[in-house]
Amino acid sequence: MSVTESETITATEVWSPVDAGELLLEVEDLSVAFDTNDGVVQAVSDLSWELRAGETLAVLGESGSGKSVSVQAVMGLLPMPPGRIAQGSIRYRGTELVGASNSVMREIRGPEIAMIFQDPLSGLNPVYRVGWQIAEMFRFHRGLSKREANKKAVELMDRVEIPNPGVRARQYPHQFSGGMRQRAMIALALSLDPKVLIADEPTTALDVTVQAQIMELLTQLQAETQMGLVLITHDLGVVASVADRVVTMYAGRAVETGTADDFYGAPAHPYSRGLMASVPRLTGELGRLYSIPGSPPSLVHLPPGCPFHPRCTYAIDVCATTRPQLEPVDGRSGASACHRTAELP
Amino acid sequence: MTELVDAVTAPSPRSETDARSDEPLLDVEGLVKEFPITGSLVPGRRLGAVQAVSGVDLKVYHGETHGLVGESGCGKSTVARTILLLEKPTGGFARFEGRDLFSMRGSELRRARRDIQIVFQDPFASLNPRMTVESIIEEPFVIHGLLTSSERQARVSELLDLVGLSAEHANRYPHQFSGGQRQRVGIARALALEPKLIIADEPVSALDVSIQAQVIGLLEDVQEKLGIGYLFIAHDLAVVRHISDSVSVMYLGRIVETGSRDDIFEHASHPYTKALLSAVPEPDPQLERERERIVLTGDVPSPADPPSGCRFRTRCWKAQDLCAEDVPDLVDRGAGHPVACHFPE
Repeated sequence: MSVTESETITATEVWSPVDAGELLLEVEDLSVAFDTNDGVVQAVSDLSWELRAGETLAVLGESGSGKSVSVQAVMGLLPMPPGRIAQGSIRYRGTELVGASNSVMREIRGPEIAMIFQDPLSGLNPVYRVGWQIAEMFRFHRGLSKREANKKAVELMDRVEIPNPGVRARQYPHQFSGGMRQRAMIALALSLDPKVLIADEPTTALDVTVQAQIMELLTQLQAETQMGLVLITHDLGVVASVADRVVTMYAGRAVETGTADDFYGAPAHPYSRGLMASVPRLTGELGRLYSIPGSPPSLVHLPPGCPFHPRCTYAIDVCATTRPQLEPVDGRSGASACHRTAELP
Repeated sequence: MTELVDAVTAPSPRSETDARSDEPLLDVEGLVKEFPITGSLVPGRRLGAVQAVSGVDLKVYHGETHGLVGESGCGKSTVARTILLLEKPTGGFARFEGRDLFSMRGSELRRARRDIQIVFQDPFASLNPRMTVESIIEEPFVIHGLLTSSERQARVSELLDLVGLSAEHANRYPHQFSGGQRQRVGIARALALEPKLIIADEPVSALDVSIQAQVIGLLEDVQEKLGIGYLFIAHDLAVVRHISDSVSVMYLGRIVETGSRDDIFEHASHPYTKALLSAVPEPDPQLERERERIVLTGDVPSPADPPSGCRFRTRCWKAQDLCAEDVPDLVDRGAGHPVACHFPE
């Protein structure tokens, strides 16, 4: 990126450059609850993960598993109330973000941790030109003049491979296709050289050929900038080739963590196994797809014990009474929250 | 439920193998649908046309599934809506059990509409929130003046049972159900009049992976029991591979390749099919690293102004001058696997 520290005018705390493999983001024992008329929704419970520079962490889960809420908490974007962080800590390079003041969050959100969303239209203002919106980042955070900021915006649009960036910068979001809008969102997110990029279902709204383009762009940009990338997705295929580590969530909890190769090679937790078996594939044997019986539990009335036990084919008596903790799995770096990890075939 | 199964199978015991060679259930030929673009200043003045469907041929056989795949905006849903006579076709023919669908009027048309049903993509938008599940499933009988009220009730509980819901769900409202359960209600409604053909327009794309597998399984079960033909419209190639006997690939209003499941998934011949297949991410990091990915550049052109000649040529890596001049016909080069390309593989 062409913005250098010397051009930084706004008096913000200047973070030191990131070392290779430096620990950037830590989420520890995070619990997020929403107070609703129907009761307390336990959206996220005891979630922990960490992210290092240059690393890609995939947070996998179905709708309602708490994956988006957990990153909204990181970004300070939770609607509070009704949401609240019941416990836990979120640290960016050692700085606590839970309860941090707005001014601290403003320095971090954008310049340090940026986010892109599933629906790029909701992230772009429909009444301003796309180039102007990207340039705003340079004007607001870096204090550049209009002319300089516009020039940088066009450069950035070129970098995310938007064809004719000069013309496109003067167009409005509705004149962009879905893929181009997502590219514009990525440009917006990367404008201030963030150290961490959180992508919440970045390709879910896109066609498969465009999805391939966007994933390629993201991995290529990550390789150039060595930023840490958190990919939130429900699609097991999308992250398979790009993730270094995977956290699988179910009913607000991490049920399995581990390297992508371990996870995809042989998932440990019964839920991860069920999920992998129910994905239709392009190659391999045809036949009936496996499906996990039942549906995910209500987050207001979570079952006692293991949240997955009512749907689990391996469940035994203890699963209904005691909640399993994340325990290391033999022969690999990950962990699984299952009483029967060692016994599973 | 056995009663319903008998009722369907008893009067016309279909021997699928005979029907296959004889007469397709649905035979669409040269279907064209254009939407006029009219000026806002001079009402009624025609400025052009969105060429949503430009000459599509399709065949669906009794008890078989024909998959129609393509990216958003390729016209696949317009094909569905036109076959259902929800849109008036601009040109072409459709024969349902040998009778011309587009010239039907009055009672003949009402009869055909009983035999052709649809399952929609969005189970949240396709069920009336103010109607109980019972009245939703019962409504087809009411509209067509079939059965007495008590017979209808009995049939509703049979149908609920068939789709894996229980009779006690009958008095609930759609908002009390999860997405997967709602889609089951939508399927029960489509099955109510014992149709011969169900058009399923992206029936599982709004559902989570584990629920998606359940609904695919249900559709397969129902087909096995009742011998219904499916036109299965989807953008997810892996899902289509699992459920379809034969497949057509659509691009910008035209079918570019059609054939058996193996023809398309094992021996794809059109560059677009190949690109589409290679863009689908597989949940297997090793496979992902090894496979060669064709990443298409750019977006799908506007159907209001499609490219001359082959409509895929603007994104095709094999395109030559010929492709801009001549529209490639969907021709069978032997082996019953027609491809619309000047340079097929």
